[in-house]
Amino acid sequence: MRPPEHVMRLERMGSFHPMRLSFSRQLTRRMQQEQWQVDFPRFELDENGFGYAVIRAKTPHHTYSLVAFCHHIDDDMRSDRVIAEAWDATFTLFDGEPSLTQIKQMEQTVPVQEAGRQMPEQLSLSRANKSMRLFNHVVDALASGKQPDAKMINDVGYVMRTTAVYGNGKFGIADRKRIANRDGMMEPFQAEMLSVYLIRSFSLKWIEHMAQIRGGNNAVPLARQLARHMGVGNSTGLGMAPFLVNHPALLSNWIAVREQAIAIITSKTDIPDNAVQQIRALATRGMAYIAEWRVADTVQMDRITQLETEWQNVIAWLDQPQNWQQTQPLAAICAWAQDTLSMETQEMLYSIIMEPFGADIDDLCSDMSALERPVAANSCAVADMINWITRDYGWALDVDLNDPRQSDVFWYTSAAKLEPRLGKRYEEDGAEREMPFDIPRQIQSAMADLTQSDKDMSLPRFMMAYPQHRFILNRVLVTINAPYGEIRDNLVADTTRPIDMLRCKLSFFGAAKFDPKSDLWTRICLFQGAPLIDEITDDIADNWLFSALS
Amino acid sequence: MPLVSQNELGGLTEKAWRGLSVDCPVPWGLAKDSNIMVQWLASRGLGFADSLIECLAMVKENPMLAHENPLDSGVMIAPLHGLAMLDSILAEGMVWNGQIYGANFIMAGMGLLLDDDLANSRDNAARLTLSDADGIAAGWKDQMIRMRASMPSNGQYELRGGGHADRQANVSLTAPNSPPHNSTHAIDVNDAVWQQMQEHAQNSYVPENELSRNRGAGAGNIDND
Repeated sequence: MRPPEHVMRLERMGSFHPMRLSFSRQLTRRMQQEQWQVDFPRFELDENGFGYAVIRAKTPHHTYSLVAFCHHIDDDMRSDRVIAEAWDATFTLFDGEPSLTQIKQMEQTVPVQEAGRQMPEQLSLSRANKSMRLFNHVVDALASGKQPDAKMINDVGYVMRTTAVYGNGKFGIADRKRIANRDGMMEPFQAEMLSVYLIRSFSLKWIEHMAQIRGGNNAVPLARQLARHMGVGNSTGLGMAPFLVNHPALLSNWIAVREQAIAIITSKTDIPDNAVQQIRALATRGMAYIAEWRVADTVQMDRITQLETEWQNVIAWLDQPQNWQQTQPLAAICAWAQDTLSMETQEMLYSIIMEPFGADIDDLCSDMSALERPVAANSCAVADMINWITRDYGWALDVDLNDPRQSDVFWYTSAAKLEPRLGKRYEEDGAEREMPFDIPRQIQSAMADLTQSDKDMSLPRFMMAYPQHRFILNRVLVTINAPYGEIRDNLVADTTRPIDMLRCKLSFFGAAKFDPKSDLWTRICLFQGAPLIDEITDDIADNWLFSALS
Repeated sequence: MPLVSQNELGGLTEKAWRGLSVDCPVPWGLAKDSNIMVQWLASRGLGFADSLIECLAMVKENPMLAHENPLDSGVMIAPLHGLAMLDSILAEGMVWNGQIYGANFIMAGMGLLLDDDLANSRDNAARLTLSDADGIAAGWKDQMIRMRASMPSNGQYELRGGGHADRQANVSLTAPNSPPHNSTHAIDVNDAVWQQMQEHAQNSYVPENELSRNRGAGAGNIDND
């Protein structure tokens, strides 16, 4: 496996792509394997498109219902920021099938989102705004009996964009514990992914409903190929970044599974012909995907341009029969990529070569969850801790804390709707309330006191004497068994790009068309190319990596 | 009474501790210990609110209480120090005598450390006990946490680590409600308690100003893209 010091760098994490181990792929694969059924038992939207709907997903074991509420909002209220207070639609994933009484109760609490007290039967809470560029265009086109402009659909990718999908107990909804041991929900973020998949299904039905209202008999349904290419947008800001820092065991498991999958595949000595053909076909599809991936951000667009050039070389490599005759051909192409290609290209290559080997790697997904609990230190001494820090945190010990650039920013929670933000330490107030993400400073401070202490002292006694170090030392203890749990870059340095952390997490969600709007936030698309609700049991339902319209 | 999730309760507890003082904040590690201890108690239907609110008030009054070492001072704020203290007791097989505030949180610390022992297949036979003048109030026994029917939240206690199974042999202790790992119930919290915790937590957030609002991640305050 690639070592943590190689993988856990922001630049590389910020180059990850969706893959078959991504949580959205895990969901659709399970839907297909278990023959889930999705329908709309209620669709109570009026002629303006306002009202509510229930989208039901029946699994062999449970039933889940997405309850959607659609509202009128004025244009000057529409914002993707956490600090927004009104949305075009709000949603909750209900555990089971809600009664009318429960729907009426949620009608009071779901539309106000954070301001409401939610019910413990709710597994997620989310909201979305219309893409004003695309929603009306699609409705108008369908209402007049035409299909919408395919280029516009590709450029935007969705008619609805979620701005938050909350889980795990937020605002009174169910704790993760409620479903953590349940078939189909054990792997991370499955309730959230199901919510988003059902939101996508709802958004497609919503536009057809509006087209029918406007166009009557002239209206036509959205062409299947266009509908399939319609995902759900998402605006993601800094909220995702603290998650990765606050859950080192979980992050480590995600990365470790990915690295294990890569190791399994690259060690293969005999690649079957059908796998070779599949990889080559996916590489060609990947080229079309890259060609459709266009963003305004110049840094990312430069990377895409380089990827586009390099991907031709990848295809050329794959097309050479002699390359497949090497002892470990996939190891060979990865070694070549690492020596000669950008990280963006290297990581896309890993996503492609995983694809034919589900039988070898899909079961690894069951290791992606983590039981997060405190680690006792009662069998450890100060000397042990010094050794662990020296071994695993050398990168943090090497940071020059006398350089103010190494402490240029601070992470904090704003009083405004608890929005996570990044402040400039030497320009803004609030650093005294910063989150504990200054890992190198904490490591160096703890190390200074550790080295001044009796090396035989028990670690718990040391932590009692120095409670200010308990947080970081607990973190070191956790990462002993979670080697990919720590991002090995200084997160408060002036060079930190939070967008890299967002992209890492989003790649595990399966997000495509990464579209950064600054170093702080991005738009992405989920479930683009995924099967529609009447296709989820088809054989091809798991074949939508790097889907392209062309 | 608001019905809150366990995660929500733990998170607010952590923030409440952090919000008590900006100049002398509760160390992050202790606030996070409190987060998981309060969830342990709440998920088992054990009381936590009164002692937590009382301890928050004490530390707000004297923030240094969070920083003083109970091994030296003989005073422990159990919702903060409980887990760390028990880990020390176990590490050194020692006996500690002193004043404990929020003693019910000791149960949570014992439970969490017992989980760790079981997960690591360590011998956990009767290595921890909490006693007062009436005898043993709580301890590990038969791979479970056992506790007396009632015990004072604040008082003089002895914490003892190390093998002493004989001390427990004739003590009648009952196991608290021990739900499986996936305990799912939401927690009823008194309005006044929840309100106080939120007020404490509020001070852990950075007040907004125009600069920070504009520098927040995301498009403009209006976005009709």
